[in-house]
Formats: sequence, structure tokens, C-alpha cells
Amino acid sequence: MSDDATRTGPAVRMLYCRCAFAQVVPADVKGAVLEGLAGSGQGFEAVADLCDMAARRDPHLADLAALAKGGATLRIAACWPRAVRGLFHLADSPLGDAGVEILNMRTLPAERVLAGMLSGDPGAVAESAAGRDDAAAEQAAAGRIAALGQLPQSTPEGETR
Amino acid sequence: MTTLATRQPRVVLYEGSGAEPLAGPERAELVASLLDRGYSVTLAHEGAAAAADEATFVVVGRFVGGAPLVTAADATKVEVHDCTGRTPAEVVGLVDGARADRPLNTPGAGDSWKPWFPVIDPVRCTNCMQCLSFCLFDVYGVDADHRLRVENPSNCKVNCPACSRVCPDVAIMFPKYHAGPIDGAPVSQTDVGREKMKIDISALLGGDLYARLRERSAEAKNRFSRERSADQALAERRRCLTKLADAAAIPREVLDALPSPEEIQRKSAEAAKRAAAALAGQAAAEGTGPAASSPSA
Repeated sequence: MSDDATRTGPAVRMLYCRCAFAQVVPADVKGAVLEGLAGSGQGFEAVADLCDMAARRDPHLADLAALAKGGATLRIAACWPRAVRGLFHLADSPLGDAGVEILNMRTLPAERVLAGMLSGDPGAVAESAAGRDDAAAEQAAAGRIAALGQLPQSTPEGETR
Repeated sequence: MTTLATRQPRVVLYEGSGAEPLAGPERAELVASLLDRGYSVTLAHEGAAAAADEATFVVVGRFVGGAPLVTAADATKVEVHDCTGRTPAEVVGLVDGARADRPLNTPGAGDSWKPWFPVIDPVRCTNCMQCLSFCLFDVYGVDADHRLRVENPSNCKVNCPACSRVCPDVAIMFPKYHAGPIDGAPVSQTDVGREKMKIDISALLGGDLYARLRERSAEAKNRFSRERSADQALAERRRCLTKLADAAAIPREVLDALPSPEEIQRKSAEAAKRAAAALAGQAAAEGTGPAASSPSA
């Protein structure tokens, strides 16, 4: 996929994890990140669930890890970097320190993740690895609940209010 | 029955030369739908043939002038479908049809496997083998270098993070757990202290976890024979299991599914033996002689 190199800078490969078997990544975040990637016009890899892939010791993970070791940049939108690295290690494809940028969709807002994926954002990468800010997480969750509350709701009679 | 021997099938959505790109929202909907079915997806602009590996079985795209021939890395022919004029839902149907009998682990399907298993943080793990010794389900093993590895992920009991509680180095993660540091969040000094306290679940319950289970079971049996009350014995067992479940965050289903006390004893001894052998192997490899201590469950 040679055009990925030209559109995202020198040899950048993007990997998106849907975390489809669990609800630990906020649905709005992973949905918005995927929409952003799909709308960017750039090529990318998307997997239903990185955990599932690691459990199968999928050789594609080794290919991706090798790319990063070969001088390319691998940008991963998934969850905690410690967990992502552990999954690659479990799949006998450990990630090196250089050339790997992991963006945490469990803690970062979608726009930060997307900017980090498409353009690179060392700040977002550093924040991804840092501890969660419980207050901020609660605030974000409250915001989502409030947004849900503004959706039309069905009354017992079936009318929309 | 889930098997981890095969890779999840992969779909290539091709938008390079000779194909018209999908509109952004349509592309997002299609990729999301495929991922939610369990497929991996490569959105390729050029080089679909290079992108097609042995897991790839179908390439879809809006091809201009007919679909190209694509051959996967293992020289098997890959089906290519023109999806011009089709909705994302129709393309998913097309892909499902092309998949034929390739196994697919689909989220939410009745026979699906939730990928729940321990993930070792190689930076923190000291290969003490506590977890190998603790696990009754043969999830852990050792590699040729006598280092800990997750050998049988699908043996793990879904939603049970118990082994992470016995790790003195907070090196065991369950990425789908709801809270840190078990979910992979950074480990703080407080966490290390807290986790160290947690490994004393055994102390909390008056001895080794499984020994306590066996003891409780024996007590329940005695009570049953004395009082001839199956209900009381069951109630006692339930109280005991609830206490254990709370202390170790072990789901009730896991405790309910534990084998008989005799089987637990046998498995514990077997696991402890494997752990001791691994430690001895490590010590021999490091030239430090036999392991100075044996692991405790």
C-alpha cells in the first residue's frame, strides 16, 4: 500500500482495534475514530478485536511489528499501551520502543486519537500511557449520559417526548 | 466450540486504481459492519494483491471495467466481488457468502468466544510462576527458555481476573477488565501495595485459597452428615463461595464450575510441580543451581 506512505508521511501504517467483544472502549469514541479514519482517504488496517487476534497468534501482528522495527511508524488506536504491547508480546511479536505510537481510546477523546493517527501527536501518545484521570473520565461519562438524556424517549404509551 | 488454530478471516476493501472509492460515511458503515461481524479489514488504495495474505478470502471494491484477479500469498485464489450499487449491508451479505465454511468468531453470536485471558506485562513479570501454580485450568505454561507464557488462552474462565490478584508484581492484565491496573492502566506504588495485600486472600480466608475451598467443602459434607440437611449444606457452600467471590473478584459461575475437591487437589499439585520445574529450569539456565524456593499457590 504505497500510497499510505505518501499520504500520512514516510511509511506510516495505521491499525484500528474495534474491541468488538467488550464494552470497555466508549462506543462513541471508537465510532468517531473509525468514521474519521474512513473519511480521511487513507488506507488502514482494522481488526475486530486485537485480543482475539493475539490469542490466535495471528502472523499479521508479526508483520506489523516487523514494519515498525524496519523503520516505519506504526500507529495503533486501541486501549492502554501496556496492554497493547502485552498482546503483541503474547503473539510472539513484541513491539520495539521506536516507531510505535499507541493511542488509547479508553481515555482520550476521539478527536485527539484521530489527530494522533492521521498526523502524529506525541502529546496524545504520552497521555495514552499516563494514568487515567478519574475526574475527567467521570466528566466525560456524565457528558455522554446527558447527551443520551436529550435523545427522544418513548413513553409507556409509545409516544415520543 | 471455539478453536484458536485459525485466523479470523480478512476482507480487503480495494479503492486503488481501477476502482471507484466509496463515500466516507458509506465506507465507515461498511468497515464497522464487517468488524462487528468479526472480520479483519484492510482498506487498500494500492497493492491489493500484496495486501492479500492467507487469511484474505475476498476483495471487494467498486471496480471499473471488471474485477481483477487476485492471488493470495499462499497462491490460493481470492474471490473478488464488485460491489458497485450495493449497500453496505448487501456487501456484508456478499462477504458472508464468500466466506463459506471458514470459521468466524462473531461478537455476540451464541457460540462466540469472548477473548478473555491473561496478558503478561513482560516488563513487570519476574517469572516467579505464582500464576502458573495458581491456575487450575492450564492457561499458563512455560516456553523453551522456562519463561512464563500464556499457553491456552481459551481455557481461561471469562470475566475471572483471579490470577492477576496473586501476581506479586502486578504483571497480569486482562485488557477487557473494567478497572486499572488489571485493564493495563499504569501501575502505581499504591497498586503494588494493594495487589500485595490481595495475594493474601489466602491469609484473609485462613489459608491457601484452594485448601480453603476443600476445607469448606469437607465442612459442608460433615454438616450434611450431621444434620442431614442438603439445604443447609448448600446454603453454607453458597455463603462460602460468595465470600470468596467478593474477596478475589472471582465470578460465581467460575467457582460453581470448579471441579471436585479431589480434582482441585490433583490439579493444584500438578500446577505446582510444573511451576517448580520451570523455576528449576530457570535457575539451571542461569547457572544458579536448583531453585531456592518453590512457589506457593
